[in-house]
Amino acid sequence: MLGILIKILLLGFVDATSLWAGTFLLAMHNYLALGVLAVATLAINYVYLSKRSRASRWLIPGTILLLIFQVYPVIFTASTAFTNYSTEHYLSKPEAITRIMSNTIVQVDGSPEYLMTVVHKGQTMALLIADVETGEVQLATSGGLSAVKDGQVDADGKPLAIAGWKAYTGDEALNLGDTLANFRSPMGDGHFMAPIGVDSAAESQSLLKYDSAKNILTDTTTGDVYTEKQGAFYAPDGTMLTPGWHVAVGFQNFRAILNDNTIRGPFVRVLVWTFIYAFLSVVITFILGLALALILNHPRIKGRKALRSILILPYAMPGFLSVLIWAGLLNDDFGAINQVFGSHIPWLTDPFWAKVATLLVQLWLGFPYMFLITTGAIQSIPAELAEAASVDGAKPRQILMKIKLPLLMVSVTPLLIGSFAYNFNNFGGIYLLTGGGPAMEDSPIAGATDILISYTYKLAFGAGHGNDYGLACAISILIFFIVATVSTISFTRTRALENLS
Amino acid sequence: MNRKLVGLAGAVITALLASATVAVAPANAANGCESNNTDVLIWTDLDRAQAYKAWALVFNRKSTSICVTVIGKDGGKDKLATVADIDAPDLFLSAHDQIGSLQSTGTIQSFTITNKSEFDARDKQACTLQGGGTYCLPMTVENIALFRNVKFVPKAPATMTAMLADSAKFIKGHKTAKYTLGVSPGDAYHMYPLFSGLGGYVFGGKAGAWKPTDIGVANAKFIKNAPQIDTWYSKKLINANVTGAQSESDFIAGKIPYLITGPWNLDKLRLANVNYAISAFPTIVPGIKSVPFYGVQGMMLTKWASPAKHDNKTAALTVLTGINGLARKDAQLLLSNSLIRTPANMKARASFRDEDSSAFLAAGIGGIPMPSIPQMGLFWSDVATAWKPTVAKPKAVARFKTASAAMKSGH
Amino acid sequence: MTSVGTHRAVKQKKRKLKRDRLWWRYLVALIAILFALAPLVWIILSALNPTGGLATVSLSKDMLGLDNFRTLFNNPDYPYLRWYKNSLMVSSIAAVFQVMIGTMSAYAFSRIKFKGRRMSLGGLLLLQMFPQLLSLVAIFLFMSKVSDIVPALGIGTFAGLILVYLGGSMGYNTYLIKGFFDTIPRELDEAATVDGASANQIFFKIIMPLAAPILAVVALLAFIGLMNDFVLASIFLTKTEDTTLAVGLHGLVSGKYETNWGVFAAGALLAAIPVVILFQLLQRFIVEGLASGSVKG
Repeated sequence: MLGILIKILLLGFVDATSLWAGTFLLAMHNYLALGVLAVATLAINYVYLSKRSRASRWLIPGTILLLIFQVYPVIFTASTAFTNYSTEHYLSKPEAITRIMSNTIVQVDGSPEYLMTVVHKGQTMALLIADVETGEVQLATSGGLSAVKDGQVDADGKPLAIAGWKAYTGDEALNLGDTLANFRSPMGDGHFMAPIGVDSAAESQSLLKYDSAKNILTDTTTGDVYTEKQGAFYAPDGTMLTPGWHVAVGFQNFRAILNDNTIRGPFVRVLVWTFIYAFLSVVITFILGLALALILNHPRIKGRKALRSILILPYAMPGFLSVLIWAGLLNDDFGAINQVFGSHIPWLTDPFWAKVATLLVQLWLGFPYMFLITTGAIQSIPAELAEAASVDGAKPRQILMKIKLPLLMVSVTPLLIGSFAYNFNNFGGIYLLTGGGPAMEDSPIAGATDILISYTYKLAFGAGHGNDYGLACAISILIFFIVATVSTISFTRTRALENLS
Repeated sequence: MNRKLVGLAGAVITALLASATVAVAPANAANGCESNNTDVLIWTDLDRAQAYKAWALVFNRKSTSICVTVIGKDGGKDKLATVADIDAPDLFLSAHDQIGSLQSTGTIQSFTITNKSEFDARDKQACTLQGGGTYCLPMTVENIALFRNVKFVPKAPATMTAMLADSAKFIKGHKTAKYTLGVSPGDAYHMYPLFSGLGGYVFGGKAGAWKPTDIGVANAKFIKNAPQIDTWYSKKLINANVTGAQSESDFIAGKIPYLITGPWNLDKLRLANVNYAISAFPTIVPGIKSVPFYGVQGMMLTKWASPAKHDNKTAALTVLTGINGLARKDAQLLLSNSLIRTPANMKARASFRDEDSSAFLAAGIGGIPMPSIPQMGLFWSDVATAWKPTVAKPKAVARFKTASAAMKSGH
Repeated sequence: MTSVGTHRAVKQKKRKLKRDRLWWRYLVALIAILFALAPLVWIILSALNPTGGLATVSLSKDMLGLDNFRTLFNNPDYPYLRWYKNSLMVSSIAAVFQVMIGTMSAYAFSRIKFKGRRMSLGGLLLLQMFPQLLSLVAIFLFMSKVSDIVPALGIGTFAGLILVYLGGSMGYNTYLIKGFFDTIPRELDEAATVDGASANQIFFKIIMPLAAPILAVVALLAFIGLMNDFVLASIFLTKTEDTTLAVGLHGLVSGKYETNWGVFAAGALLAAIPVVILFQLLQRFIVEGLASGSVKG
């Protein structure tokens, strides 16, 4: 009875929320989103009200979130891989042109400094300006400039209102908004007097002119014509005018990866190390975590509770802090580890030891996690099983190897695969510790400890074009493709994901 | 069992929340504004926030129709990319070399500094991008300089030869010393004075018109002088494994005689009871001056200060260059005095007195503004790598040639 | 009750076997503690180092003090307690829902045969291998759209952040819980079905109590993961006062040349306290949950 009530309440809540959001979408004329919302809401109602579809009832909340936050990003990334989306191609075309035209207004070289008072005659607005050097006052109207005889200025040097014109107060001037900001008083030669804030003005000019019909920009002083090419305007000499905008570029990013020797060269080496790193990270943390769980969960060890609390501490700290601390500890000449042990291990400068260092740090960061999970899983194995075996004469070692471990592996194997996936993309674990270094002979970018994701990051965000999202997406799609293939093959070969029964 | 678990978890969460609710002060302090004013929001980094807040109080009292609010925020540049419109700043304080990428993404807009005659040409140039637009208002200027511990090195070394001699003497007296010049070779910014002193340059051209294809990382002059770098390592002047933090604490602890750093560490060093002196960098090769990168902290006008967004562009411009604005002498002097940084406004600079700041300024004479073009990213990563010896490439010449090739290929 | 005798026999036998072998377990414990704590000592030293640098081997007396903790609580630029409260609120709410959703999905995957189950499981795992670093842009753009429609759930709100966190509910948690459910004998729920129990009843009355230890573990792991999340939170929360511990603290060390490691380390140390407390409280369920259950059974 209670269950049905809760169900009705929750469904009602979902329906009300989606109805509410739907009115907003309708008002915004976003019919695609509205359609998706309607279908999703109907599906939820169907699943929970009908007698059938047992599995969906349990899966729907997770699936909806999964689709939005995990599936959609993959699709988005795949589509971005075919664009030039990057620091220099970040805006849409209309945004970029608005920005270019606003940025092109500059003060005329050698023009004097003016202080200004905004004045009005009824609805007509004008600027009273005073040359700071000479104190000479002029009236700038939308028709042009005219000298004001015997113009007076106040203590700051701002012109005082003249006969026939009334000064706006600061508040009033600010409230003029666009009317003031876009006010121009022509001065000939394409120059104009423009207000800068509420109390200064400058003789200004537009360096570029946009012809929307021809889709070209013209330099007003030199006459140079800027033409559009792949999401930006280019000058005749080939320099790009920023900001540009993002456009589809087909397979260009993929071609760039495949045709570039500096990218392709170290790719296989990086790929192999990525697999080794991810695999070993999982194996060593699991072995240590499991060993500690088995050894320390002995009923006669005193202070087990405190012990466990201490052992999870490495996991309780923000990971990036720990990695940075480790980088300091492992420093070849100044790090505590070499100093305390009196050793001279080149932890961060030798390709081999740097790899060892990344794994060591991962071991420290990850073993508490495995310790916790294996502790939980072992405790969950029905005690009767072990006792029955013991009564039947099995030795503790046999109980462990034949009963506890196999059961444990059933529950943790998928998790180990998950942990593998996490380490496969463990950007922080590498980048914050070694920066991917030490540098290697075969590549200026990929260092000895670089894994695919840190390599991608360096390629796409560290290169000379700001952040190149398009390229980053293209590389990750390629990586994902490789991982997916490898994983799918191993899934079908192992029965890891099958039921025990 | 199950109910117990849920109950316990609930109790724990409630207890934790309750314990954390204690003594949470309201975040917004009084900024001396009336309610119907036009708001202008400024983001600075955390260290400068206090000084700017103090200035905002003064400004808000004078300009009764505008209300300036200052928020201190570190990593502000990244946050500009994700901030919701309603929380976004109208003005943003950052190092001038950020203007290139911020302009490319359309995050900042150009504006006119009406009193530009009060600024130094180099500072204005630092805020200019190709096309001629001005994208930041120079607030304070800063560059790194050479610190020495007077106890060990009474006289500033004029040449690298003198510095190496001082260094050798120090090592004689401190057998365990692993280096004497506190600087991280993996940091191309702090290494730049040594790089420029050997004849290296980043890009040809000048601020506002850099030529990204003219790369001077392995120019003939530099390559001729670069073998000296190997000597610096072998004579223990520098050490490839030193980090910035390490060198700072070693200098403070009196374990090294030299440190390369900027005014941001003055507070720490003044507190630390080290008898330091600041000087220009020693000449390495006769005829070539060793100069640091020159930097300007610039106030930028963001895209949010526009009719379509916050509709307060006029107010934001008034805060920038108005009579009581940030560009003027009074504001710059007030800020510089509380920040202990040299002001950019020359009228303010004439009244600004601080011995250390003058020494920094002197060390920065001839320094070029840090290039603001996106290709600079290549310099930071490739040249940082080139400074450090590797097993495969123990000689500096080979490493810098590699870095130059990498920069030319766009990696 | 008939097993009391055998219990005693087993215990005596064990005691005899293990008595002289206990010392090596303590040795392992000692080594493990040293391994776990040594780097933390450095964090503590950094927290006590008033010069603001990371601790170095060269320690001196003036490098110890509580200045960093004082700064942490008194500087209005770092509303530390507020961050603390935000983190606890967001992490606990998101952790509870993550576990709920993860458990529901795991139940379906473990107990209900449906078409495409194996494929969905494989697909789920594949999705986890997609680099999160790149998903961020898409998630951000999606949430910006949400901001336009429902501002209360959008960028800069805790509700929005929690929603994004829930996006990860169906990942590792589901696997962990499903793996555990698989070890619970099916005969139990089959018997219950024969007795006329509904799926809901089996789930709440049979599976959940047996799964208490692993649910506690998952909840704790989720809580820790959320407390330490930096990437997502830093994108969604841009206001200094309305941010979480990890993001706020990261701000202290993200300045290009001006970093404040001392205050950061002090903050990070204190941030670990709730995790430790929570773990202490949950230990009973994690370690002894099933043991007590089996006595009743």
